[in-house]
Amino acid sequence: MTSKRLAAALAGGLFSVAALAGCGSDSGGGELAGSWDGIVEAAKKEGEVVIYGTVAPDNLELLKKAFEKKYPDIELTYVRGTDADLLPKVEIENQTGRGTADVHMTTDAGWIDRSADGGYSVDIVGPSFDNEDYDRSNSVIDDQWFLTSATVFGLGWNTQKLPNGVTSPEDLLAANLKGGKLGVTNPAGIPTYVDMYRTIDEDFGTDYVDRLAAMDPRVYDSAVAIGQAIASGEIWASPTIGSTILTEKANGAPVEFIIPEKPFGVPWYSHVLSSSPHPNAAQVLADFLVTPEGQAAISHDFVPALPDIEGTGVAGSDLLAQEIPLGDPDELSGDSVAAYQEEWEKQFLD
Amino acid sequence: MAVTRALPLLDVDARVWRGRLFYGAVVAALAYLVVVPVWRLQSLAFENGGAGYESQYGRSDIGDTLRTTVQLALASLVIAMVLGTLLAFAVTRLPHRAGFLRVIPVLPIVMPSVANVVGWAFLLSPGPGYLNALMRQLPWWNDLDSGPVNVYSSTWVIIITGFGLTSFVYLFVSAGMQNISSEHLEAAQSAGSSQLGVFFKVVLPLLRPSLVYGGGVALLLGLGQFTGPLLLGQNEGMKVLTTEMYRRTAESPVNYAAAAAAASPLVILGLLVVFGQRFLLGNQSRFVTHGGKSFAPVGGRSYWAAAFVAGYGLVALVLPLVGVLIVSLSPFWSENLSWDFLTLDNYRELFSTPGITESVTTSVVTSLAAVAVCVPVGLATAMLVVRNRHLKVIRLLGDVISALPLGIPSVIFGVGFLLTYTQPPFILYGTKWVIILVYIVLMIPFATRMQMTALISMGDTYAEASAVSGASPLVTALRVTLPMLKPAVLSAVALMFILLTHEFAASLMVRSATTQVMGTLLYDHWSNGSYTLVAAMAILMSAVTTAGVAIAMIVGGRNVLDNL
Repeated sequence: MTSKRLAAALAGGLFSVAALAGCGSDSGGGELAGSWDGIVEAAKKEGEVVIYGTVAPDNLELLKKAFEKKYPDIELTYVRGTDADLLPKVEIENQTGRGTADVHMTTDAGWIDRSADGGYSVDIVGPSFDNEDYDRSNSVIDDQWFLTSATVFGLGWNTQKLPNGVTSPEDLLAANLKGGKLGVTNPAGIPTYVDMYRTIDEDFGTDYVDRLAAMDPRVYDSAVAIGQAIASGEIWASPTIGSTILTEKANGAPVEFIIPEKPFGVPWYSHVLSSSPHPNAAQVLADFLVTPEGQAAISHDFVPALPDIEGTGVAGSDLLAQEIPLGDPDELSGDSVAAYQEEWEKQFLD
Repeated sequence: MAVTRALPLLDVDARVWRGRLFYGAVVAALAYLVVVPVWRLQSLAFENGGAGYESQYGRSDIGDTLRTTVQLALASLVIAMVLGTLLAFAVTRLPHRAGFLRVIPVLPIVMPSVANVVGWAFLLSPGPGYLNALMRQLPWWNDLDSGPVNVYSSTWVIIITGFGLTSFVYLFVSAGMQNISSEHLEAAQSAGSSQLGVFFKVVLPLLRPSLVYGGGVALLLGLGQFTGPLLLGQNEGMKVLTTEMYRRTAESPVNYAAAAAAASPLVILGLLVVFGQRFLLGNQSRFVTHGGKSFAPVGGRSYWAAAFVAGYGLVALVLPLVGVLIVSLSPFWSENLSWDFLTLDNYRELFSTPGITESVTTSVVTSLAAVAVCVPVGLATAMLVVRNRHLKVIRLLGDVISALPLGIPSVIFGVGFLLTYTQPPFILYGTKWVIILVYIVLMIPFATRMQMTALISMGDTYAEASAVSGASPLVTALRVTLPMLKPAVLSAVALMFILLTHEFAASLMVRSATTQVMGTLLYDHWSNGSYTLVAAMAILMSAVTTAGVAIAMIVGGRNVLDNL
């Protein structure tokens, strides 16, 4: 084979690549329109919007349906992941200017605090934030981060494996649950879980986390995975969030969930990203999230940020997301979280 | 023409310079693609007085991590070498009627590793694992409420990794065996050697290149193992260097320096193995084994061989596939199976869940694009190494650079590409281009080595015979070399397509949230605990690859998998 022939073949190969790969991702959106009506019109022209969220995937699916029903011209794409999955992506998109996400939801109080210096967010402009029920002064930080939902951690279990059920956090420390029958979430890269372990260590009973670690529980990457593991019987019980358990229960899985006396709660805050490729659609979605329709979707089986929304909230209580405080950013700094993570791994994984 | 004839020396000079320029350009492009990302990553580890090393190796669990990495690599290597060699030998002894079984040892390659790993989880999870549930019916285990096997333990991660590597060792060993001419064996027998003597004194020494390559590749693949430890090992806190790299890139802010530091031992070992293989094999023409007759096993055919190959197929392929299939047809994963539960909802969900159909397209398009580049580039590199001994420096560089991606785990290239292509001059983050580029790098060794092996095995005799018969070099290339390379090229295409549509480790690093391939999206759903959807996706991934293999067989003939 001659060099010329090789060169021709190489050129052919490269040409095929160019043809096959198509163009890259869109990035760098247009301008934000001057009025709300203009923004909605511009959003329809943009035609799509992307949200990153750590909330349960079923809620994001509900949000997609509700949003596209109200705005049929705008397609909503959601990406569900843990903070460990999503925060590095948000940072890289901000750094490269190649945005994919338009709106981002997180529970990481430390990151929310640190992001102010990074130029990650733009001001929110939607009219629904001024709805009296939403209580803007208690729900919006620096005109950029807005309260979206909240969750409380309780106790979930498999009713076939534990037919007598669970009534308090102490029940999870029973001898028959030792050796891989309990599930816990790895706090690696998820400061909210660091906050949770620190809190339940006191609120669930003295040295609760030490005693939990002594049960030799199985470790999972997310609460969603724990919900499925309880449903499958892979684990029998877990201190976890309720929505995933309730979703499995609705699917017919043998699971149950209760909220203990002193539950740990955490709010979700969202922001419109400055690297958003669809700046108008991003504002429309942000606004939609705090409307009754948006809350019914995103806060289904969670704690809502608006009162009297059907299908949301904690049974027997009118708890609102505004009543669940955001963690202390000073206690959730990078170093503090890393130190706790190391300590946690020694307890749970060694 | 008259001028050219009058100046033959100048003509030769021009040809040499053209070759130098062409091959120099190919090697320079390869160097940019292969070396630069790893170099940039490694230099980061040294920045700020080695802060990356301090951060990664100052961790209290680093001793455990290193020990587990080495244990996983060595133990899975032993499993793979023994099983791979036995399989290669068994396949040569298959009875005629059981000849179809010879495709079995390569079939596990067709099954995506993520699908295989989740298949094992569905079978051997201590709680709802189907095989565990069956075993708990046995009288001596019926008092257990979980187990007896724990697929999340490091022992089982090692066993599953060993199974996964077996096919690769088999490929190398069986290729070596096929190329041994039966003349060698007959000569040894005529000289009075026993069957065992023939195996140890003739077959094994001639297999040395295959064993060295196969063993080296399996060792490096073992050291770079990512899928098993990540998907199964997290449950029990199993940490290896590759999962540590992933964790460092999943921190906020991304700690590239620590990830680079975690990669350093693997990069160094990779380089040692790549150079070690060159040293051990030395002059590769010693291993030209084409003769008048192809390999024919000495001794009879055995039904034990058939049983062994079939048993391997059952364990390595059928069982995990059955596990995946059952879960994919269930509303939720549970040890309690019932016909009433069976549903196709999960397959319907494949089409309604955002991103899944897009991920199939992205996988296929990026894989095809990378293969389209790899074949000609690999052929150019193979020609450079085998037929251009006069270009000493360029040839050495081409040989080593094209082998590097085999030595360095793909997860390192993933992180290197993420770092390199999220910064100027080429910001490709979030595009398919970065996936294509990393795929090209990962496949260059296969494209080059498979075409090179074919060129080496051919030796120079065919070309010389052609030349003696009066053919010009061009005619020889077109009518002798290329037709003889066709099976190797088609096999290379099939293998690369299979490996790329499965690719997971590097893709996980360079994918963005909305530009995903099948493996990365499957992992996301696995992390989110959507086991039934994961099972349906695993079946879909296997179907896509099988379709690719089927097309390769239609184009390249039924034996295309044999040529792997």
